[in-house]
Amino acid sequence: MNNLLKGTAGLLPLPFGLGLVAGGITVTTSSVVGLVADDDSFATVRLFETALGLVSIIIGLALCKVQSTDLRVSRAGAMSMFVAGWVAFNTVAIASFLLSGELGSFADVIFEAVSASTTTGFTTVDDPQQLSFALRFLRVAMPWVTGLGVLLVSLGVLPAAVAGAELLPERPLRGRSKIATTSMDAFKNTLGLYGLLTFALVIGYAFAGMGFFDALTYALSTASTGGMSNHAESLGHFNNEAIEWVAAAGMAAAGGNLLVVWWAIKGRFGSVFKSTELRLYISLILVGFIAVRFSGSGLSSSDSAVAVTSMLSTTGLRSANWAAGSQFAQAILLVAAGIGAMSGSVGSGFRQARVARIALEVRRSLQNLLTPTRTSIVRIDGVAVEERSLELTYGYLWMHAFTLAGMSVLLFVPAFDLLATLSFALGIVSNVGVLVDGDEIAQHVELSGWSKLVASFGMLLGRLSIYPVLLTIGGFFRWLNRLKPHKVIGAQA
Amino acid sequence: MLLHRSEQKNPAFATGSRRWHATVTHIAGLALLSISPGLVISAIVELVGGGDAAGMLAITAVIFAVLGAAMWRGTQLGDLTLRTVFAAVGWSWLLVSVLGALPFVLARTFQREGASRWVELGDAVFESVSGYTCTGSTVLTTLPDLGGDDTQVGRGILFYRQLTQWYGGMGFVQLVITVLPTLGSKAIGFMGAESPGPTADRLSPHAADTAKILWKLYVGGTAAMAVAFTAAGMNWWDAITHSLTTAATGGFSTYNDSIGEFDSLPIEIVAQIAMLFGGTNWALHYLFLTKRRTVHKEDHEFRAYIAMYVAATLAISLILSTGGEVDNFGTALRTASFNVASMASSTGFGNAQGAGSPGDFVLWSATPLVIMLLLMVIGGMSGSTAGGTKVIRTRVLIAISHRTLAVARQPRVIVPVKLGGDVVKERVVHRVSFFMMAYVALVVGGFLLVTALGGELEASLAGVVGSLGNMGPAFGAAGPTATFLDAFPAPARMVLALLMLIGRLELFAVLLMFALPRQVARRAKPHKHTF
Repeated sequence: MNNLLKGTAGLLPLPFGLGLVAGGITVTTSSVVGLVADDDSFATVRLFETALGLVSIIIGLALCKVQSTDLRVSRAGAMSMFVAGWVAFNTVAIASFLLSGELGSFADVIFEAVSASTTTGFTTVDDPQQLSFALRFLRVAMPWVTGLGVLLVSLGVLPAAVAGAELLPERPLRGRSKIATTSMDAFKNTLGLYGLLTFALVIGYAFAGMGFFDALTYALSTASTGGMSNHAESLGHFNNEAIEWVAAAGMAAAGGNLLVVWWAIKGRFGSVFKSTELRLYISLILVGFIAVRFSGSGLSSSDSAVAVTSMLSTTGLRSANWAAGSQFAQAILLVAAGIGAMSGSVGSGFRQARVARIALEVRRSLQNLLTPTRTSIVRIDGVAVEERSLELTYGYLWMHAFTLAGMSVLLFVPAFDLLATLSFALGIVSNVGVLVDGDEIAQHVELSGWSKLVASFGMLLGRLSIYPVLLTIGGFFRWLNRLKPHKVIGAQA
Repeated sequence: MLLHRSEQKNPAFATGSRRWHATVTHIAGLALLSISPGLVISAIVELVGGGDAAGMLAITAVIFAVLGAAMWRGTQLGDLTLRTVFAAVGWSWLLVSVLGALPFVLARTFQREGASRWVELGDAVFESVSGYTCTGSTVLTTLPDLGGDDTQVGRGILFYRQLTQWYGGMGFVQLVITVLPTLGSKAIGFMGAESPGPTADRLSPHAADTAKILWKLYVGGTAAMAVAFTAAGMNWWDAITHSLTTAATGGFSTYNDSIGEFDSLPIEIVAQIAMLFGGTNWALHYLFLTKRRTVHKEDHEFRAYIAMYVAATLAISLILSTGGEVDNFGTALRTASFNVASMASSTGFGNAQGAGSPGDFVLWSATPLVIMLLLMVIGGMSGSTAGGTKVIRTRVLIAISHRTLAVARQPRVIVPVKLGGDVVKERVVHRVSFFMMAYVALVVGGFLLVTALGGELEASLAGVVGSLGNMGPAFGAAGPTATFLDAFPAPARMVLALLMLIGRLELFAVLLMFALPRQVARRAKPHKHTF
């Protein structure tokens, strides 16, 4: 047993337990929602789900008590802990989906659960209105919970994740004021800000004309950049400009760095305006909006705002069919989906911080080409970026590109044309959850089991920034190797 | 020598400016001069073929010769810094590509109903740039196999069109080096600026000798291909014209259906082998002939190149045959292997017998098209006549990704980037990364610009990738059985032509050719004196 739990493996029960607890709470909450809102025919299933949630919480709490003898957390170990937590959370969710029996095959269940928990938003459900309230709630609650987890990791709040977070682009914030000095305060502040945004969105949607359940679910979906909808036409179902503007503002906020919002709340406007990433993010939103709105796309202002913010924040909510617009508008949206949200946000994609770094690196290389003797450093927000960190950024760019290329080939959806395939692959790796023509995948084709499983793995890679998944898989094989009986040299003697 | 007033005031500018102009003009003049014999041959071919553009070709040959001689004889090589060398190569290519449109303009090759003279001029420039950069995208719709009364392109013009690619394949600046003994050690700089790939191979202590060896090999290879095509069933005219563009991995054909016109398996096999030969590092061919018979097998880039070809062929064949897109596996294999070789070598030949036939790959399902798009990005080997970002750069990127993962696992670990057991210098790694980042930026920027100018999404994406990689056909409305005329509006075609030039010169030369005049102009500005 000691050998089994040596090193990183010994640290895994804690995050796995936390994942089970989080999954248990989410499933229990959604089943309670179902017990209140759904009709009596679902009552038995809801009770089973409640039981599943409670058992998960109990097992999770028990696992949290398992103490490792070796408390040193390596960088790879921190990443594996994050992956373990995520796997545990999904295990509970998948079990709940299976219990409900409302989704089709096992591959459908995996796809739906992974899509929700990775804040992607792709779905194979033709009409979400046919699903029970509990399941509709679970589909939006899952990304909200994992979104919180992403925020805690990316802002360096979870102590175990700090080592891993160094590889994420959030580290340029080193040396700048953090969200709080102690972990507990940071957790409270992060949860508070995230909760505040969600609450504001509930109020906004309700005032704009949504009913309470829709306002709540769309708020959870918007704040977490999950993009799961209660309707097949997403926001387009309401055909309400006020709702579209609320959604656009909410998605833009959700795709922004929470730390920058914290600075704004604290009145540190100097830091806010100094943020290169924020300036880039706002510029891209404005340029994208103008380009989409005035390129003959035929989209209204609110539709254009929803389209651009949905793609940049990687949410995936939609209010119109973007394919009806100009080719240029679609090209803009495709590029926006590739870039993605700000670091330190719930959003995914390649991230604005990395784009800024790469742009500055290209500029520096260009200057060096013109003046070979010149030595210069890359600065972001006035802080010098370490060369090692830059190397990691462009190393990540190539990993991201290879992942995208691999997904495009492996997804294998014969009914798709080239653009739909590329758009689907980009939507998976960037966790956008919508095709470039503004449609859901279910409106196009019936995906094969293979495509769903490949897509699920791709969404996971995209959401966890590739490294953690690959390192965990590598670590798992090393761990298996350690279990093998080894030949002892000189044993015969 | 009398100096301009600004030069008298500012000696630094005077020397810098004169030297810059001198070097660029000298090299560009020689490049123009090197094209004129080709134009003379084309004029003779036109005359023999009974066409009416022989005079136009002869006039252009004279213009190239006189202008080239004047530029060459009127200047001397000056400053030979890295920047000047790159700028000289860049400006030479721009000048030759643009002036190379002259025979098409004079012969009114692109005259068509409803098109203004400006559009006609633009089309001529597009065709010329596409030719010299070995891209192979075309806007010519009046090739002889169409028949009818509108076959207005004479044999001489067609021959010149094929010849543009042959010149561009090995590079006319490299040709210039062979006759410039004064360059000395700086010649390798010119070769590096023009040669595809991160570094230029040196086959002899003297760079000029290396250039000579490569050109001799190129001529020999072209002749061998012509013989092979003839043996496979082509007539001499077709064999020569197609061997010129196969060796150069250019892809221009004298028929609308390209190689598909012949509907001959032996010709397709010869073309495939020839395309892969052209997409391989020519230095390897030389070493194979002179020193080691196992040199190809030992080269890690060649192994990766062939592995990529085999894997892509098998994958596409399986998808096409199992998906019911073609009748049987044999047809799928024939279609896939040809088109994969065409894309992997950036040649751009097609084997479709008209729209809708198995070789018309725009009708394939998405996965084979994604594979084709990836091949368009990767392209051939460094040191070959092929385009694309090159196999070796992809291998470096994979090695960088592997290193990144290792550093992610153990932050303090030092992992060198290795290829085939050899450590790649960090300077080269950095340059490859910069090149690829700039490539991504160009693809994204070009894609947005071309769609903004009216290009269709799928065609624009493949058009931009194909132009930067000097491929030839794209997807959508610009597929292997179509031209770029209907797929892209005239301004978009100009953007694509610029991308072809950037792709052929692999970015650096184009960057420096525009940066240098700006730098000289900045130096020329009167500076404020603080006291």
